[in-house]
Amino acid sequence: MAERKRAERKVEHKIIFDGKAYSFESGMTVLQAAEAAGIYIPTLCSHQALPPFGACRLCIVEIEGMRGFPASCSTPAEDGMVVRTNTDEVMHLRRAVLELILSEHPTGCLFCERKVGCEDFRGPGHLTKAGTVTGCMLCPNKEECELRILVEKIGISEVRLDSSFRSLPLERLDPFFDRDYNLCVLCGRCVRVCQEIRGTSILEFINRGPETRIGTSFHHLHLDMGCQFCGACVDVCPTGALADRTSKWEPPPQKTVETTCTLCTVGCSIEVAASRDRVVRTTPSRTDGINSEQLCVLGRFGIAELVNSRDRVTTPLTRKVGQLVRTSWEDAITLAAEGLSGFKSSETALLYPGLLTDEEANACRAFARTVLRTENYPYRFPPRKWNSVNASLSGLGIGDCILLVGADLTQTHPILGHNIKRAVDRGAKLLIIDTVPTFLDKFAAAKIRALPGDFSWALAGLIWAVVEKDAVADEQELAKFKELPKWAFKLLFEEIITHIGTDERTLNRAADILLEGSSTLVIVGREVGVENTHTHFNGLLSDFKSLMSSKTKSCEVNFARSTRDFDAHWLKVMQNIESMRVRALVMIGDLVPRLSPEWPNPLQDLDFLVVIDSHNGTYTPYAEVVLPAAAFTEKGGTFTAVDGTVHKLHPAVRPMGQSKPECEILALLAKAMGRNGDGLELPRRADRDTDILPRPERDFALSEQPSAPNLSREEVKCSNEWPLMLVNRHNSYLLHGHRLSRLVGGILSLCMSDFVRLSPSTAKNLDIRDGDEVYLVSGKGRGKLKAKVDCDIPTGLLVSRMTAKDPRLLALMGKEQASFWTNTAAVRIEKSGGDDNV
Amino acid sequence: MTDNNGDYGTGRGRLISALAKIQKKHGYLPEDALSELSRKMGISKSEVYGVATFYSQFKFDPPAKHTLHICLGTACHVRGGMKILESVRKRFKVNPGETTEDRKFALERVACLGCCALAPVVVLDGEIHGKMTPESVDKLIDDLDAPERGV
Repeated sequence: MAERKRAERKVEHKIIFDGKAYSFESGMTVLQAAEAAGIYIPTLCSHQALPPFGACRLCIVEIEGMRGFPASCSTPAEDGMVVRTNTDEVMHLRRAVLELILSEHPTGCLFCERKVGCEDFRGPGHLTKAGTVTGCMLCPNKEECELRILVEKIGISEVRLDSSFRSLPLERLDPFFDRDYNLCVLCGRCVRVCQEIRGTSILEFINRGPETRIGTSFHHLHLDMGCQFCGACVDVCPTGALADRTSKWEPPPQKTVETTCTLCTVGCSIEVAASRDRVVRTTPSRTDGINSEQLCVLGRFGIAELVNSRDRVTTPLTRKVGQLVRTSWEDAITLAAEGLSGFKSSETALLYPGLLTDEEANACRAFARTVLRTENYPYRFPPRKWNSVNASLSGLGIGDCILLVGADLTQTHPILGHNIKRAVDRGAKLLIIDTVPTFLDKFAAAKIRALPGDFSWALAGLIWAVVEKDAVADEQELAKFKELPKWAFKLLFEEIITHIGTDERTLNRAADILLEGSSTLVIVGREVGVENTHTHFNGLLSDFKSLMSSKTKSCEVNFARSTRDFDAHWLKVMQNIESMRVRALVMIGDLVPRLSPEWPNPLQDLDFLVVIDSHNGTYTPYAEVVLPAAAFTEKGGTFTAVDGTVHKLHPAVRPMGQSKPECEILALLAKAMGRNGDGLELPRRADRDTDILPRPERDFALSEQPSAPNLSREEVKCSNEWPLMLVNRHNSYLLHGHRLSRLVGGILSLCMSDFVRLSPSTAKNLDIRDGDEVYLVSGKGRGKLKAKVDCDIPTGLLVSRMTAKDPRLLALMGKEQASFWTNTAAVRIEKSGGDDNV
Repeated sequence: MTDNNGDYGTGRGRLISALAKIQKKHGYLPEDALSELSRKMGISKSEVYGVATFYSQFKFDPPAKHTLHICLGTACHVRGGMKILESVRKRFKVNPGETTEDRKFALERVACLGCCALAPVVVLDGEIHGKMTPESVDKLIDDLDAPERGV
């Protein structure tokens, strides 16, 4: 609709290319007009996702009335312009420019006399190792080299200039991708995508003139620079300078399949490249997905490694004389069915993860209800849909405010975080209330720091500041709020400010921004968690909503739900398992938090455990039957994303080994248990449009906080003995309960789970340097971590990212507290720690 | 690093003058100071470094204690500037543009200092010395070190 309107507004103009008239829309560059007219102009630095740069000079043209040879990519097209794209002079210049570019690029593969002959051997299905070994392939870019295309199109057969090889060392100490800047042609696409699209600014042109190259500050590793490894630079690189490591040694892909990434709930469209029935690489889909051709580290680099992992379960296993041995599907299913049939229905349970396809989640529920006939299953899964959010956030721009309350979306929903950054680029204003600095901080118009437990205070302060802006605000108006008066009368504004330690100016500025905007989108993240002040928080949130709705056009509140949120019912199922009311369990994934090797295994007293999983997990050794499940690149189906949109999955490769999709496995199991499995084997065809997943019973209201187990959190107070506040945010690299740092190599270095970040002044006081090993000691226990001094961390705060299963976290916080998404503990730091028992 | 915090503001256009201020204070651009600057101005570390490396006036190593410029302009070249350069090079084992490992002594060559009547000319720590020979330059340098040797 909006598109059509925009198209109508565009006025058509005429432009003459090489003597022929073509029409173009206003706002186009000469290059865009030529592309629309189907005229080829060679380009190198230009990229559809990036604004014009005009660096490579390959797209030069002659334009009547303009001096010299303007670059068509950065020249706006004008009505009546007369452009010549292929005169002898232009072609001559282009050849010279390309020769200059290639004089610093190895050209062995571009001008080889056997080039035509070896063409047949470079195609799909052939490993590139051979070429590399015989010495003619210096480059990992295979069939996708843009330079090769340019050489053919521009038509040069040699470089007459002396070639200069930069002899730069290969940079491969960072995870996921290698950098060989000897192949770089300095088009600057990677620099621009890193700065302008992703807002990370890790890459930059370093030095000047012939010394220019791409690099980071003081040549530091990308890891140390805060790179998110989104892979955007690799995707735009026209050469082999940036190459992802997983596909480097794979043959060129035989096919690519569009599907949906299910590693988180955002629902990004991806393109899976496969060769010989193996996933080689995943790239952002070029169709208009909500991720607009961007991905996060997991989607770009994690999938291939994950689904090709050596930890995949490929054959059914059953326990024979205490050992898990390979067996056939028939035997395994029979054994599982017989085992499960021997229990009363109330003694059985089914656990499944939240990131299954809709069909699978549906099949799981149907299996639990009709086959096991038990109530012990998380019936509300997948709790994916948020209240009201369009995941692409494409509608947000000037006049819109986004308020993130304890929501580190770049970690939990990476592409949604990226879309917020893009909304800010379009003019939306971002406000952040959070404990620790997050990636989105640098795009925020105002930041309010609040310790865990103080989010209510921060929100109350914000409401108060907004109310105060309005001169006519009186007690009558205040009385409209349910929660605020309790706070307002109890506390003065100053008290709020002192409590959260922010200054009045910040709150006022935030209030100004909110009032200037026409709509507010509030996203409440998991960091708010289950606070002591939880009920206040919900009341205040609803006050905030009604306040903003009355002052501006609209205010929407969303809870950044994640499938790892605790759900009261889920906890009840867990309690039933721990109290041994459940004696037989079917588990998809590796879900039960195995707390630590020393802690009792919550599943060890089970009589019968059936594990359906794609990877070996913590509980596989305890299972009676292990059934291999297909990975998401191997199956079809539909996937409901955070915004309620339904995305399709298409299988890119066949299931690995003998694995089968979960739906099929459950159907087999149901049949073997003498129940009708027909209803379970829900359509595997992805093109079935009917939405078979029952819609969530209702969109949850504000009063229904998603993560609301009935646990109270003890208040954490610092004291002389424990002077520092440790805040741990679970690292979010998990899939179906598996730690991705175990299954995907580079994640381990990225997730920082061994580090505790502290402010320079804390470090100075305690004489701690970067990289020192320190012991954190709380009232409950101790844990050894490495120190990382970070200027962004407020004094007195320590920030870590241990997983929920980390024994150090459990030691420091205790089992109950460790299960929260954000954990806090009052601790002290010791530099060397007596007996090292962790 | 809190001492060079002076409010640089957030305008990107002020980056170069901020870099110049830091260099004036430290004699070079220390990494810590650039990190701090990047944080204060809201410009990424890599961007700050990219701008700083663009200009050859910005240095990333602490300056040497003493700097000797040897003129190799036409007049100085004719009158033996090259011999002086060779002897200094041999003595300190540094090439023009380099600094000794103990960061005490840096050797630079210049094209002309505009006082060709005094050729060959060297500049030691900003002071011009004319009509030099390898031996007199050696002595100049020895005199620099002399009080230190006593200590």
